[in-house]
Amino acid sequence: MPIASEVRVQRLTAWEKQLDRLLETVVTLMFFSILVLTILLVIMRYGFNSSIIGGNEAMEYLFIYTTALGAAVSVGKGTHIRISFLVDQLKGTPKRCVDTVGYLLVAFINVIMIYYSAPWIRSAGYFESPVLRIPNWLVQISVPLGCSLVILYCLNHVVLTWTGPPETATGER
Amino acid sequence: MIILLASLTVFLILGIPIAYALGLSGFCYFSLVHPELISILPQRFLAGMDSYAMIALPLFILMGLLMNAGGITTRLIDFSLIFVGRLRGGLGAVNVFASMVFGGISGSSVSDTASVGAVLIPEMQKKGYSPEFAAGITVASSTMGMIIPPSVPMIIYALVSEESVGKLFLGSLIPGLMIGVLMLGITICVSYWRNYPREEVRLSTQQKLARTRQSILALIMPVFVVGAVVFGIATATESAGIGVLYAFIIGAFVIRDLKFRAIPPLMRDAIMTSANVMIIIALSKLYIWILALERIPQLVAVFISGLDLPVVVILFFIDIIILATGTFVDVSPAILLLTPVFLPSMAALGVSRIQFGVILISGLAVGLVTPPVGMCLNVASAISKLGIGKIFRGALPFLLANLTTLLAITYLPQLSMWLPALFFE
Repeated sequence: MPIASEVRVQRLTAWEKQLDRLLETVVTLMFFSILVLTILLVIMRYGFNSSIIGGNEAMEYLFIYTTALGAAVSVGKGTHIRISFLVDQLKGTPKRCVDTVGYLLVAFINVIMIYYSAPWIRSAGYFESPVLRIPNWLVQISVPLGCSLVILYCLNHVVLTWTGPPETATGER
Repeated sequence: MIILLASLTVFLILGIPIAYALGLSGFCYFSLVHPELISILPQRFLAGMDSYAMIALPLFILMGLLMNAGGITTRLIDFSLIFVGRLRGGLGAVNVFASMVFGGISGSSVSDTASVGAVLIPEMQKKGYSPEFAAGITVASSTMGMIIPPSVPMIIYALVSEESVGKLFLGSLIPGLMIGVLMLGITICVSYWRNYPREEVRLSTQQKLARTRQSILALIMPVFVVGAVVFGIATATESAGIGVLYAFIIGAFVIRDLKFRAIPPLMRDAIMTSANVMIIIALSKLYIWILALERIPQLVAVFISGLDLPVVVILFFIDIIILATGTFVDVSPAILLLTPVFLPSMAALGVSRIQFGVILISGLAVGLVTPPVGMCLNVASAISKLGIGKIFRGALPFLLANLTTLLAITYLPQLSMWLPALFFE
């Protein structure tokens, strides 16, 4: 393999790993907050006959973000649940072609989501949540944010599929 | 509808993640049939991710991971040895008994295979059990993990069917235990036939009590978690949160095998697993919505009623469909795909949502042990270094227990309905 292409693959893999680490840390911290809120809400209710205002709402919003961001990381790591036993029978160029089509289709549906998110956020984003009074767009934006990351991962993997070693083709690292 | 199913099949064959295959087929359907509704896609997607009840999912997963990392597996195996070690094929019986208990703690068959299998498969091979038997019994018994409450797939089913988690937990208890008892019987029979050894358990009553004391704190956890939901003390999410706290205290301060530095990676694994399932749930909401738009569940119900076949035959075919789906599709997406289609038909046939949930989860559990996509087979293969074909052959006799129970819960509704009726009515 030419040296320039090897360096490019290394760079692409390295930045993807950094992005993975960053997103996983964010998602884990959000999950930790959800866990703490869940336990505190039970303790407050039974121990002090009280509650945390907006606790449940905050948990739901954090959970939405963990799904949107976590699903994007899973695209990068190739850990999504899929029926792969047929595709796994392929090798070499046919496998690369099928993987590329797969990544491009996943990217496509996420582009569609982003495209239709914009008017939706514009029209309903200014409404506020019932308890915390958070504007809706803060939650809605999780959809285009997560989808953008998925697109980024997909495009990176298409490049890696054709320039990197065979194991990067399926995204399993 | 043909557009939806045909495109979904093509996308799945292409190896596209199930979540995005659902989204893409939904897009194909809306583009061609209802272009005026296409702008609603992101709204449905967000609504699918927005579920307070599903926060229980990563919390239950974390509870099982913490218990496992806290060294509970070896203690449960020691505890099981006291009760069933002296039976013919003692380690096989320990494997089944430990899975019954572990199933109640972890709620996941895959983690059961990984943790019990890592200890018992090598140990059984050392004692002269055939590698196929050791790996086969491990994967087969682990199917109880997703049936005995608290069960993660049951929470997903509760979300789709809008049934009470507490009732479903209670409904699946007897079938889960029934599988365990039948598997113990099969283990003893096979062990007599192959002359597998009994285990020498020379312990004084005091030593037995000491071992029981070590395990009892973990053993009461499922009772405590399920009890909190059943008696309305806490929601499934809250009960899972408290279960996590409990598992942390037991692992870190009582058993003291849980290291603090191990917790962040466990939390990451739990939330990432949950994200993989949640994204399928989010995009399956789109598919469920299309089914409702096309009135597919009602059409299936009318079709089934019009077949003019006895109910017993129809239910038998439903079992076959569930088993076939479980063979090729993972548990969570299978629940999301089958539940909305069959629920109205089941109601028309007089099958309650609780009974159908137990039938569905018990049937899909078999898919964890059948090639080509059996998750437990892959885990056991990594531990035992055997091919999945050999492990499946080893598991076959034990799957009789699953299939017998599946038929029993299909035709004897009392098995899944008695406990919910006892506690809720």
